[in-house]
Amino acid sequence: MHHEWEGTVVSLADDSFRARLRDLSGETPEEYADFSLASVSDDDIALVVPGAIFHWFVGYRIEASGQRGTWSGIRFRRLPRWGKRDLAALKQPSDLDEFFETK
Amino acid sequence: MNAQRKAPLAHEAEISVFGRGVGECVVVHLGDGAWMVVDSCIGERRAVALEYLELMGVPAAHVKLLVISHWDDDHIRGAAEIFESAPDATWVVSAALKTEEFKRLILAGRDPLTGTGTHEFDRLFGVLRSRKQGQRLESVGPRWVSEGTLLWETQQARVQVMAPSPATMTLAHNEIASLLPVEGEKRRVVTQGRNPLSVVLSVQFDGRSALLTGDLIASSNPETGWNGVLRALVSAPKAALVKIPHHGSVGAHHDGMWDTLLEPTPLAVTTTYNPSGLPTVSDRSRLRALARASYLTSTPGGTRSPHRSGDRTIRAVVPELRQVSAGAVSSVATRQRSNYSGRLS
Repeated sequence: MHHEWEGTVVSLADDSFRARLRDLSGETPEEYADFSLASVSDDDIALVVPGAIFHWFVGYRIEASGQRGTWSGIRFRRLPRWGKRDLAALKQPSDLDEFFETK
Repeated sequence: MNAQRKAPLAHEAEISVFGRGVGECVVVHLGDGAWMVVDSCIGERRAVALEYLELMGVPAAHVKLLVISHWDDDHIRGAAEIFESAPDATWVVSAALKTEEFKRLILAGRDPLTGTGTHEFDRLFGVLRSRKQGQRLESVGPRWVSEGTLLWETQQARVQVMAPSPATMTLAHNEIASLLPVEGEKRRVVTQGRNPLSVVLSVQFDGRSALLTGDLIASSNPETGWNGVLRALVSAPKAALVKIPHHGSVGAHHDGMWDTLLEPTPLAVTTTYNPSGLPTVSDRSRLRALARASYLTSTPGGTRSPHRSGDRTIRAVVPELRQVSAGAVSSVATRQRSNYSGRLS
């Protein structure tokens, strides 16, 4: 493995999606980029929605012929759904209340 | 420290606009060594406003106002770092965000699995909390502002808030509520704020004026967006310089802004936003026709076409990636950097 980015889907088109990329090595500034939906596996395709998080790996692999080639892969994170208890917690008193008080 | 750039003199105003294809920040000298930062983006390594002030040998403590026009990612990155470095600064934020819904959105963003793009706001509140130390809250902020608020006034300079309008604040509840998670929905990151809630400022200095517009867009509602600003007509002199709203997009264009709020053929500065290809060629043409001079903060990058093969995707996504096949995958050139900087006097 040579390089890895964490991506967030920001918009979706017919056959592609646009994403914000954060270089997990911290070496490079944030990037925005377009990816083809064809580069997403069938298992992950339903997960490609605005706000979805994925990891993009770029590296090298040795082909059967012995030659070295570039390789990249995209894996989407599988996140749990919001539940009743999670949403109720957002309505509980918090340390932000004092800043949002209205007189 | 040796300053690499000369700081403006006490009687000079200076407005510098930064944007490198993603992100926007405006740094304003209000005279007598007082500075205002409007929005924030990352420069080489940290908030570009701090890098710029350091370049001039100006201590961050000289920042008196930190204005966040709205909470889009590209306008707020690094804001907390600025606020931490500027102990005398007042954090100024759109009163349209002072809602129960926005508070919940920030709390939802604390979920370690997701985040809502509101992390930076949460960090700003954290700085306020550490600063409070028993003081009355009103004295440490945030300062929630709306149309008509006078932010700064000295003999030389005056900063007035032109937006959000009262109607915008009424609509904000629904706008922000639409971003809140609902039961059964998969967790995800909310990546966009709401442009109609943006703060707009009139900066006046010795009889000259500049209009800083955030990402305010046009609206079909007669009381919101640019209609709201024009309807209110907070008394402000016509501006000789305008930071063009929302990266020059046609959706942010309003004839009334040009006719009513600006001098004929003003100077126009547009920050680029490469993910959406803004400003487009036609946007730039429109701006050139309206302005005496039209500046961009960096070369527009445009949108990148999707590609199907893995290798072509690599090349398309990170065009600066060098020598992919020769083993230098981790070597990525930094983007070019440029900004507009102009002095009013």
